[in-house]
Amino acid sequence: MTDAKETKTWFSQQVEENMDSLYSVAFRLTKNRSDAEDIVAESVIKAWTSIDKLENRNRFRPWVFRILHNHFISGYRKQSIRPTESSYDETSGNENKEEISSLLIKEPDEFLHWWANPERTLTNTLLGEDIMTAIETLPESFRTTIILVNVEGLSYDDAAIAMNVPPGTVRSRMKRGRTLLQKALWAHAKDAGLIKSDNKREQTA
Amino acid sequence: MNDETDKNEIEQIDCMEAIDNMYAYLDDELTDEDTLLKFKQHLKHCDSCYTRSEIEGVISERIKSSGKGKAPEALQNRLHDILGKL
Repeated sequence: MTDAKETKTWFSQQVEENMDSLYSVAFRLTKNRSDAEDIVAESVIKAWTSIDKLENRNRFRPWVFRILHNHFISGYRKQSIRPTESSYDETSGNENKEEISSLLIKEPDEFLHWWANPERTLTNTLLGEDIMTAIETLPESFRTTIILVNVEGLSYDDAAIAMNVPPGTVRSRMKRGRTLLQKALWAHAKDAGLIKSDNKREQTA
Repeated sequence: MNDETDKNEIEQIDCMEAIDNMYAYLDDELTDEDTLLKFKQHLKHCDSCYTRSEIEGVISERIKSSGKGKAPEALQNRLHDILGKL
């Protein structure tokens, strides 16, 4: 097999294996099926035309996610305005300590009792789709980080490659993103009537 | 090493520091052995952080199992078409 043919075969195999992952990440970024399909198709074409720049084939996944993420940032994200994004930007150097301390610290009794109560287990009250809905409310940088690490199983180093940031930023984004997710879940639980709106824990039967 | 020895011989970390390391721990990214040991010791002696860690672990599992999607057939066909023309 010639090198060129071997490369095509290998590339096609990688795309086949990562098709679902690419779509999943694109969908979480764009929140739109049609846009997600376009961004995946265009990213695959871009990846093929840039294949010579991939130095280590073992890093295909973070590399192709990076192409997809860059494509989203340079094109699709510009189409929408997300004013809340800047307030969460870790590059601002103005980390909110209260936010980092998390709801678990701020409201330990209510939160821990509700989540840890064996009579109202997490599995019974909060479905995976509830959590994914809450993730969709997060600012894009945190949403992307959580999806790449927790859904796609990328290491912090690989997620850093995918998002073109230092590994330390991935760690920071995970911490802040998951902290924000707690708050979003807490709000969702209130809205869904899983806990009383006055913050008092429901009595268990 | 018993619990008392653990408390005495290993430098303690507080809850804030434990939470600071919690997600890296859950993501198998807490690789510094000294930090990992201190974190585990903290969980051993702090019911609150232990519970938090358990809860966050459940959320991580739930995200992992729920976040996966399947590429729509139209996209699969579109990609196959692209790959066929390489």
